[in-house]
Amino acid sequence: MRLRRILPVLAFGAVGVALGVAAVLALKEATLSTHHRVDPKTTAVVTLDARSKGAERGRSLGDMVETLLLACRLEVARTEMEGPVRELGSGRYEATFRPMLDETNQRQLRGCLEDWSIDHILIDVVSIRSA
Amino acid sequence: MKIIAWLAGIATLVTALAYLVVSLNRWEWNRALFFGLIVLIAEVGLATALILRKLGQLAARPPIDAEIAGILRDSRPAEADRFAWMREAPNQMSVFITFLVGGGVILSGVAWIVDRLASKTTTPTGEARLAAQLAPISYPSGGLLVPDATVLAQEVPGDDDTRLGRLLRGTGR
Repeated sequence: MRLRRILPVLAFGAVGVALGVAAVLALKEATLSTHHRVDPKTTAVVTLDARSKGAERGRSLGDMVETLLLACRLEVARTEMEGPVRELGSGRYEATFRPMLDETNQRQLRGCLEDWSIDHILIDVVSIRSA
Repeated sequence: MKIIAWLAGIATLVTALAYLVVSLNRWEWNRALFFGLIVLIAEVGLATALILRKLGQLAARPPIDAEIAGILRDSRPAEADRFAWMREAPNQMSVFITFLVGGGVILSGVAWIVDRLASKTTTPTGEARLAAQLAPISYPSGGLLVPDATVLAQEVPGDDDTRLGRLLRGTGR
């Protein structure tokens, strides 16, 4: 009688533990850095939408986007920004990186840009494509 | 109202946890930290609420009716007094003494039986067999004293042997 009451609890507990372990393993796999060599002549073009709210007076959206791009470039990979950040209008910007970023670096750059790294600016990465 | 508060707390916890995992998966560390903080706050809030609810339930429990409690106490079966025999009773012989004396008598009887059985194991035939077995290690028939002939034969060749002299006379020369 007592076993019949305990068994469902044990079953739920086992399922919960299994799900938790699976989730942690999946997260570990997703956040694991796996880099590979890229051709130094290749480039990556990052297109993003930016918007700001409550920014400091005299601080332009372009300045903030450029600052964020530089900061994330330093954080993510050994790559250089080729040329200035280009404003395409309606809050859309474009920047070119040399060399191309591998898959993990692309994810890291996207995460860094869309993260809450700098106050008063929010960025959506539209695309990262090789050029 | 309480249900709404509980639901809000649980929803906050679950949503923040989901966003935490999503942020980690997207490499958005600042967002992950923020949502982790929300998870922690919601968790502490819910745990505190659970403890307070439990304390409230304890306080709200109706008092026990003393009359009913007394009836229940009186209806308990009497506890078995397993060591009553050890108490000192001046007018009656303690059962412990009885056991002690009885045990002594039984042990004495067993010892007497063992003694009788052991005495029956020694028979004349057995004694003769034992004597035959002990013969090889018995003393020599003339005793351990050196015979006179040996004493008179002191001045013979080889008498200067110290070890032989010690063997024959007990002193080496």
